[in-house]
Amino acid sequence: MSILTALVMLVPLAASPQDAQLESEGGQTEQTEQTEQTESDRSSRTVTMEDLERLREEMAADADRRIEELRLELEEEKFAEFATETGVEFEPSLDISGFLDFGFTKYFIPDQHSFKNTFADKSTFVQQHLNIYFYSRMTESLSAFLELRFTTLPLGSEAWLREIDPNRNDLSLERGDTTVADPLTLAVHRLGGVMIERAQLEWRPSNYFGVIGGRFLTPFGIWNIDHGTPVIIPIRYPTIQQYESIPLAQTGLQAFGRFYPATNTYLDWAFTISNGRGPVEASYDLDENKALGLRLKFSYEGIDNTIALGVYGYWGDYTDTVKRVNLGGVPTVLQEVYSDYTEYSGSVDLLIEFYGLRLQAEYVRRLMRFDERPARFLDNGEIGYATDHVENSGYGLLAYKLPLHNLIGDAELRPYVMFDYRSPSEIQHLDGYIFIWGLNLKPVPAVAIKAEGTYAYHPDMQTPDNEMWVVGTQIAVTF
Amino acid sequence: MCSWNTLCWWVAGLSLAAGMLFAAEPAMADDAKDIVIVANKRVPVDSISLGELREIFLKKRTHWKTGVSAIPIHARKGSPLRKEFQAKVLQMSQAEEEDHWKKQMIRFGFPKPPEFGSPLRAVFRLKGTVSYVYRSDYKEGVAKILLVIPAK
Repeated sequence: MSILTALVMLVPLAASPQDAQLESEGGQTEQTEQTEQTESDRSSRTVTMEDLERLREEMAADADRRIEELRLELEEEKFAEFATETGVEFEPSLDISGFLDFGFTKYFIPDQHSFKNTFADKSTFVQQHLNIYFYSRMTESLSAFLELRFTTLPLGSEAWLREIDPNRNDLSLERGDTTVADPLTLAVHRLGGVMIERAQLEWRPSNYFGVIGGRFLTPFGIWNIDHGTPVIIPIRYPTIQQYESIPLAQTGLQAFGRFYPATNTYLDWAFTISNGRGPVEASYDLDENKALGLRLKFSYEGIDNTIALGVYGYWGDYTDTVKRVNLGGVPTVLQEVYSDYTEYSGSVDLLIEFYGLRLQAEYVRRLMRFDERPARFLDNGEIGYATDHVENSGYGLLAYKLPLHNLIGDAELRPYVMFDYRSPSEIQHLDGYIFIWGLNLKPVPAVAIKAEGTYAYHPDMQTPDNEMWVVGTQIAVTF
Repeated sequence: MCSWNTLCWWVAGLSLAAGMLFAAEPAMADDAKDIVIVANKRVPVDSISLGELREIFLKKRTHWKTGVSAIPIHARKGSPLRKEFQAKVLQMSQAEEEDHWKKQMIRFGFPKPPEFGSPLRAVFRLKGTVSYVYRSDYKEGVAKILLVIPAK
C-alpha cells in the first residue's frame, strides 16, 4: 500500500480540532450526514494494525531520507564558499591526445625472390602513423571516443585488380595517385587520407556491464588492443595483424564488462555483433548475416608481475558483390555475388610479465568455407579458384627490461626477440617463418626509439631465393 | 609577594607543561603526515582496501560497488603528497605512472585522472570522487574518510 493511499484512507479518521469546530458551526443536518458517511466509510474500509504499522514505518523511512537530504544540503551550504573556491563542477569533458611515429626502413630482397618488387624495397623514410584521439565524457556513464589515423595513403598505394581472368597468367597493379593542382595558384598538392580506426559511443553504468556502439577494435589478443607504436615493443607487426586473421576492427555493438574474483584478479568478457568482415563493412553490410564474437580473459595484475590468458571466438560471413547495368532494353541493375564464405576463427593469447621479463604470445586458427568461390591469385603463384582451407598464425615475443636504473634512471631499455609463423593454407603450402630482433629504448614515457632486424624465410617458395631481410628504425611519441 | 614554595610550583608547572608540549609534538607531527583517503560524502562505501584504491586510481575499476562512477582525483604532480601516494598505494614511480597512462590512452582512450592543488575541495563538490590529503589538511565534515595510511 502506498503512502498516498494510506493517507486517503486515514484523513476522515484524523480530522483536526479546527475542522471539528467548523463542522459544528455548519448545522446539525450536515453533521449528521457526514457522520453517517464516515460510519459508512469505516465499515467499507477495514484498516488493520498491520497497515498502520507499515504506514508508520514507511513514513519514518521517508522522513529519515528527507532529513538526511536536508542535512547534506545544509552542509553544502555551510561549505559553499569553501567549495566554490575551486570552481570545480562536473561538466562534459573533452580530452585530445594522440601519437605519431617516424622511421627509416630498407628491404633486402634477392632478385630471384617471389616478393621482389612486391614491397617498396628501396631505402626510405616512413611516417606511418599520426593518430589523434578525442575522448569526451558527456555524463557519468556516457562517453564518446574517436581515434582517427591521418595517412598519406592512398598516394602510392598499389591496388590489385579484384577480378582475375583465369585465362591470363599475369596480374596488373595500379598505383594510386592523388595529385591535384590548385587552380588559383597552380600549386601541386598530393592529398592523403583519414582512416576511422575507432568511433564509438560507450555507455558504462557499472564495472560489470557496458555497451559500445560504432566502430571498435576487435577485443582479441594483446597486439590488437595495444596497437599504438609507442606501446608495442617491435616495429614490425605480426602476420596475425598484417593479414587480419581476425578482423582488426568491426562496426556494430559490443557488450563488455569486468568481474573481480580477488584482489588484482580480473575476469573480462565481451560479446560482439557486427557487420563482420567485408569489402565495405565499415560503411554497410553486403549480407544479412551478422558476425558474432565472444571474448573471455582472465588476468592477475600484481605490482611487478602479470599473467593473463585470453580467448576470442569469431563466426561471420564475408560477401562481396559486383553490380552490372543491363543496357539491353530497359536498363536494370543486377547484383551478383562475386565471393561468399563463412569463417570460423579462434584465438588464444598469453601474457606473462615477471620482474622486467615479458613473454607475449598469440595464436589464431581460421577456417574458411566458400559458398561462392572467386577466381584468385593463389599463394603458389598460380591462378585458380579459392578452396575451403584452414589458416594458422602465431607469434611469440620475449622482451626484457634491463635493470639499469642506476645508470639511466627512469629510462627503459629492452632487447627483444620475436618469432612469427603463418601457414595461409594447409592445401597451398606457403608457410612463412619470420625472426625479429631489436632494441627498444624509452628515454621518457612519451617516447620510444626502436632499432630492429628481420629475417623472413619461406621454404615452400618455388623461386630460387626464399630468404629476405629487413632493417628498420623508428621513433614513436605520444602527445 | 611570592614565597619560595610558590616559585617552585610555578617552575615545576611550567617545566611540566613545556615537557608535555615538546614530548607531544613528534606524535602530532606523525599524525599530521598520515595520508587520509577521502571520498565525497555521497560515495556509497565507508571503507576501502589498498588494493581497491590502487585499482580505482589506475582505472582498473571504474565504479563503486553500487554503480556510481568512481572518479579518482590526484594531488599535483611532483608534490610530496603525490610522490608519497605513488610510492605507498600505486607502488610506482612518476615515470611508471606516466607510462601506465600513455598505454591506457592508446588502448582505451582513458585520460589520466585530473589533478588539483587542493583535492579535498574537489572531493567535497564532485559526486563519486576519491582523493587523498595529509591529515593536517583534512577538515572535519568536508568528506568521509575511507582509509588512513600511517606516515610510517
